[in-house]
Amino acid sequence: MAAMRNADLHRGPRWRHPARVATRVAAAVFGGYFLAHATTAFLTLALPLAKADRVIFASLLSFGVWAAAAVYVFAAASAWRAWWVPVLAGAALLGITLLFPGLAARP
Amino acid sequence: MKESFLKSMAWLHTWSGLLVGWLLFVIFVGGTIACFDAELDDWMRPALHATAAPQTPRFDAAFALSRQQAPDAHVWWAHRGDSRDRALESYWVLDDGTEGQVALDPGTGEPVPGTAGGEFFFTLHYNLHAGLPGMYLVGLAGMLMLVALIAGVLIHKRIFKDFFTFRPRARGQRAWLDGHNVTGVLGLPFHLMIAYTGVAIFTASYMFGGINAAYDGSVERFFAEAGDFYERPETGEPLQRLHPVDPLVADAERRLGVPVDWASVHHPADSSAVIAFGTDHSRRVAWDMRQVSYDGETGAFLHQSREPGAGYTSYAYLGGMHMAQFGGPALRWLYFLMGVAGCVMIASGLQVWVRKREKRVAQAGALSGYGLVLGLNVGVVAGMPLACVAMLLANRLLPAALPDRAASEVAVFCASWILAALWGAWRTRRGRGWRELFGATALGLVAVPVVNLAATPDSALPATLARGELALAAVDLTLLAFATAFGWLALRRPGRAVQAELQARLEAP
Repeated sequence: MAAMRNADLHRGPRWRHPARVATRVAAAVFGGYFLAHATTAFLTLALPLAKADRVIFASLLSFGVWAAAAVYVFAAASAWRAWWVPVLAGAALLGITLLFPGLAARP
Repeated sequence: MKESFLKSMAWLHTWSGLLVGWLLFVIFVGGTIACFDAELDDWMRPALHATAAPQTPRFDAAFALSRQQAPDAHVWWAHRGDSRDRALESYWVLDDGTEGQVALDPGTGEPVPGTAGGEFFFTLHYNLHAGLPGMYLVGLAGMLMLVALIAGVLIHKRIFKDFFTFRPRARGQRAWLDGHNVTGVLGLPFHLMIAYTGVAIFTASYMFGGINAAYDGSVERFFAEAGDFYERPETGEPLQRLHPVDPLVADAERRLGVPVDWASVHHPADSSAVIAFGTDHSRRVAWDMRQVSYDGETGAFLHQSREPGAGYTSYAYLGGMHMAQFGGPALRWLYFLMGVAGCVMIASGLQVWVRKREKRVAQAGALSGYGLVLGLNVGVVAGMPLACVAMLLANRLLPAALPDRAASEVAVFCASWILAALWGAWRTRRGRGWRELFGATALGLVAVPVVNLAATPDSALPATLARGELALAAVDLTLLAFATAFGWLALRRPGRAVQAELQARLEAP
C-alpha cells in the first residue's frame, strides 16, 4: 500500500496534456451519460413500484449516478479504465433490462 | 492515493467549471432576474400601470384574439391578470410548434404595446432562446455544474475554515479565490439544490431510459398517465361554435377548490376541442398541476385530474423548489440573493483560472486559448449586465406603436452585448475593459429610473411610491442599488500588486 502511494505521488496523473483532459471529459460526459441512461432503464425494471413511479424515481436518481460516474472517471488510474468501467457497467444494466421488456413495462 | 485523488478532483472541478462557466453565468443571470419575471413583465408594460386587475378573469377576450391570430392552432392558452402581473395574456402554439403571444389590457381586452418582458429572461434561463438544442445545452451545463460542485466539495479539506476567510486586499488570485470560496460555500446548499432540480425538471427529455423501457419511448403517454391529464384525439370535423369559456370558471373553481389562474383550448377548430382550467403554484411547494376539462362545444364537464401518485408528486416538489412560486416575495428575494451569489461564484471562479495562469496568459498573446478565455470572461461577465440594462432602457425609449416591439427590445439586447463584448475584449489587453464596461453599466443603471421618469412619469418612482405599488418601485430601487455596486467595481482602487502589473504591462515594448 505504502509503495503504491509513493509511486502514485511521483507519477501522479500527468494532466497537462490537453488530449488527456479531453479524453476524461469525453468519458465523463458520454460514458457517464450511458451509465446513467442504463441505470434508469434497469431501475424501471427493478423498483417495486407502480409504472409511472418507477420511471420517475429511476430518472431522478440517474443524475446522481451520472455525477458519481464523472467523479470516478477523473479519479480512475488510467484513461482506458475511465472508459471501460462505466461503459461495461452500463451495457450490463441495459442488457438485463432489454432481456425483460414485458417486465419493465408492467403496470 | 489521497493526494492524487484530490489532484484529479481539482482538475475535474477546473475543467467542468471552465467548459461551461460562461454558459452557466448567462443561465444564472437569466434565472436570477427571472425570480421576478412576473414583476418585470408588469414593469415593462407601463400602459397598464394605471389599471387594476379585474376580479373575474376575461378569458373569452384573450381567446377572441387567439382566434384572429391563429384559428387552427394546436392549443390556445390564456393567463388571467393577477397582482404580480396584471396583463391578460394570450398564447397560442401551432401544430408545427410555432408560438405567438399578445398581452391585453385586462379591463378593455385591447392589446397593449409589446415587450420581451421578464419572460425573455425566463426563456433565456432554460433554453437560451434556442429551442430544443438550447434546452439540451442548458441541461448539460447544469449537469457539469452539479459535477463541479461535488468535486469542489471534495477538494476542500477545510471547507468550514475557508468560509470565514476573505482577503479582499490580498494579491489578485488569493482575493478572487476567497470570493469564489465564500460565495460557493455560503450558497452551497442552494447551488446543489438549484443545479439538481434544474436538470430534474426536464428529466423526461434528458433521461429517457425509463420511458423507453416502460412506455415504448412515448413521453406523451408517460405524462398523461403520471399527471392524469385529459386528452382526446382530433375528429377532423370542424367545431360548430366554441362554448363561452368565462361562464365555466365558477364550476372549475368549485371543483378545484382554488382560484383558476389559466384556461386553455386544445385543437380549437376541431369538434374534439377541449376547454381546460388550472391554478397557479403559489399555495404549496409542489406544483399544483391539477386540471378540470370541459367539452369545447357543449361546455359539459369531462374530466378532473386526481391527486398524482408519489412519483409525480416528488417530481412536482423538485420542480416547485426550483421555480420558487410558493413562498411569496420574501422567498423570491432569498432566491434572488442566492442567485446573485451564484453569479459571483461563477465569475470569480473564471477569474481564478486566469489569475492562476497569469504569466502564461501574459506571454500567450491575444490570439490563443488564454486570450480567448480572457476575452470571453470580460465579454460575458461584464458584457451581459450591460446588455440587460440596455434592454430596459429600450423598453422605455422605443416608440409604443413600433411593430414587433418585443423583437426590437431583444435586438437591442443582442447588439449591445456584441458591442460590449468586442469593446471589452479589445480594451482588456490594456487593463481597461472590465472597468469601462462596469462603469457604463453603472451609468445605464442610473439612467433607467431617470428615463422612466421622463418617458413614463406615471410608472416612475415618485408615482409608484405614492400609489403604494411597491413591486414597480422595487424594480427602480434595485437598479439603483446595483448601480452603486457596479460603480464601486468600476472605481475601486486596484491593489498594489495589480498596479505594478499594469505598470509593467504598459512599459513592456
